[in-house]
Amino acid sequence: MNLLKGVKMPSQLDIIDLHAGVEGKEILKGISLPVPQGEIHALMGPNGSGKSTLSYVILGHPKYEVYSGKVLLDGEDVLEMDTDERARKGLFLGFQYPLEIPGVRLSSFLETSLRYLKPGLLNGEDFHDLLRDKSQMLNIEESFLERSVNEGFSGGEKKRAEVLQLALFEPKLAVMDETDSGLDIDSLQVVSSAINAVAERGTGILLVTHYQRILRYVIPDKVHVLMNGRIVRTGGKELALELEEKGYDWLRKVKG
Amino acid sequence: MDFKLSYATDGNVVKLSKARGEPDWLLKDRLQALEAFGKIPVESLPLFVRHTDIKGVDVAKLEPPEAIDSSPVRPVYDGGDKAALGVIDEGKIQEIRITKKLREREFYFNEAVGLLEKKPDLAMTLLARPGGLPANEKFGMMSRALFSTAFIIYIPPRIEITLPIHLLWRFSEESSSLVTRTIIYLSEGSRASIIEEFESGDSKEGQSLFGNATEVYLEDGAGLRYAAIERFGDHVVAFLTRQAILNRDCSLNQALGSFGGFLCKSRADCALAGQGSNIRQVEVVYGNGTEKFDNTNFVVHEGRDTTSDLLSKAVMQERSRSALKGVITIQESALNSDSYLGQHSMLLSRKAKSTAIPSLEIKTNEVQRAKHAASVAQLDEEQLFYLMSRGLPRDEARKMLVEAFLTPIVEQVDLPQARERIYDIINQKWVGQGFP
Repeated sequence: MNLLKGVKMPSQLDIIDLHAGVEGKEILKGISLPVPQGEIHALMGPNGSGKSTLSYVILGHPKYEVYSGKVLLDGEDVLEMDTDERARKGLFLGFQYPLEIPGVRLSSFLETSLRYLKPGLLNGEDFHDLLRDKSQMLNIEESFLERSVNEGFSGGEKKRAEVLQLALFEPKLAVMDETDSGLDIDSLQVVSSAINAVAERGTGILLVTHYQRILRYVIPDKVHVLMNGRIVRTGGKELALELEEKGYDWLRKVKG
Repeated sequence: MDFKLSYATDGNVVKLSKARGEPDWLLKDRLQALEAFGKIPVESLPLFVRHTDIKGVDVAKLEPPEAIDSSPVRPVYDGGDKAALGVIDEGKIQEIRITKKLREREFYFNEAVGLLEKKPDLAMTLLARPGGLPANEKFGMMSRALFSTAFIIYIPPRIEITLPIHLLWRFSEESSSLVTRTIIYLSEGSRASIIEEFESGDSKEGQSLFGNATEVYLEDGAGLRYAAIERFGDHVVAFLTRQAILNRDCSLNQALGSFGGFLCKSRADCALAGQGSNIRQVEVVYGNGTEKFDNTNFVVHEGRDTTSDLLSKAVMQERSRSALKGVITIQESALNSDSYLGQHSMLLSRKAKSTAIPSLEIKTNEVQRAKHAASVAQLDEEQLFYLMSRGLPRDEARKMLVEAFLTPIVEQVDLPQARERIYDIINQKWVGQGFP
């Protein structure tokens, strides 16, 4: 008798000794990082440390090459999958610079995406109810949803639209790349509470950030520091404060 | 770069004109056009010579069709969702339908030969108008010299025809050549919607030649919504020439669609002759396989307070090619004009090619606006990645981006039937093609 039958195993992202880069130039030099379901992990690091590279590699951006290592989602290696398949398996990337797609209405784009990400989940009416709920949570007006995806959005609006997608899709694991940059304090709070709500519902979050500002509102279970393509330190939420106080140079010195 | 047609001789033109029972003035007009056809280069504007390519065109030795029965066809008068329908197969009029309502009017919708008998003076005005076709366009002159079918749509003064008038040209005969003319005349204050469709069967061995010139003449205060949609097979070399002349306070709302052919060379001219006249045009080009497109637009502002607004968009898949070209000229007399010419291409494969060369020639200082814009770009890989990261399969993401590029322009097509037809063709081309 299988006692585990019917019991859902918690999702987990496992990055194992990942080496990756661009055009033969290695940027990530052996990264290992587990993010269990429902946990929030902050990935911090100075500019050029490889944060965005890691974000893109997890979702399979065509510009980046993987030299060795694994990225597992629930034990399954995603590196062989196309980007869209990774998304359907439950990976999500909140873009640092969300793309403008003129001519594609945000609401219909979200509906199409959801049809692929959660097939059979929703009919049209349910979708609009769900979209309304999540939009209200993010203080997004309905008229906003009728505009073209990200076209003419302010920096803050773009980030809120990214978090709206996170909340709608409820992926297994979300990489949020610098979601806090360019947000005023009100937006930061709205966005943070939405991220917290999504994590409470079981999504694992890898919060990629340069500053610890957002970590006042989104309390991480763990903090990892990325420098020069390697994780140089992992600690609890207090590590973020320590970094704020001492700066990244402190770890540079410690590491020699 | 030269284009020759071995049957384009004085002797053959005389024979053709006699067979149709045409008066001397029309033969004379044909012979003048034939001379011009021989003299004018394939591309008369130096700016565009480098971007005009008729390589691989091999139609010089084609024969014209056997003598076409040019007698006008007796119309059927009935209701229906069209004001009038004309179906022309291989140059022979097969069917004419006209609503009963239009029967009592002076409306003429038939082969030109019928008008030559009924109203010779009007026929002369329509068929032999000096400057009715651009004097520097070789293929317009080809049509004027060699047409074996001419269709006339004459709309009497001050009537408003709300239902569309539909003219369908079918051409699929193998290795043959068909040259035709369409003349559209809206009298003072009248309004109409006209859709002209050109189509052929699937690809065949060898090449065929299809030439058509559509002359549009709008008298004061007339308004026309016009669409011309071409969908030829890969064996057809097509030359479509259109010229519209707009008098005072006229408006022309025009949609052009180029969707097939070994080569489809389209030239559309518009003369804004009268004060307050305006043209709005959208042009959609969609190529796949090895199709080639050459689309040129000319607008000349002559009258004051005239407006032109032209937008062309091309999507090229596989090895298809397109050249979007255009010049807006603002004459000294055209005070206070407003003009825009935009030409944009999206390439869906590394082997597809496109150019976009809009330009302006302004001869007065008193211009409200004169603007042009152009772009040629590969499908954006970053946008594609973004959409795929939201679960959309690559093909779906590509389709979404192509639709996003085309939908805004197709939505501007003012005739619902033409708009639906364009959407259908785009979908067929997309589905039939698979995804390169």
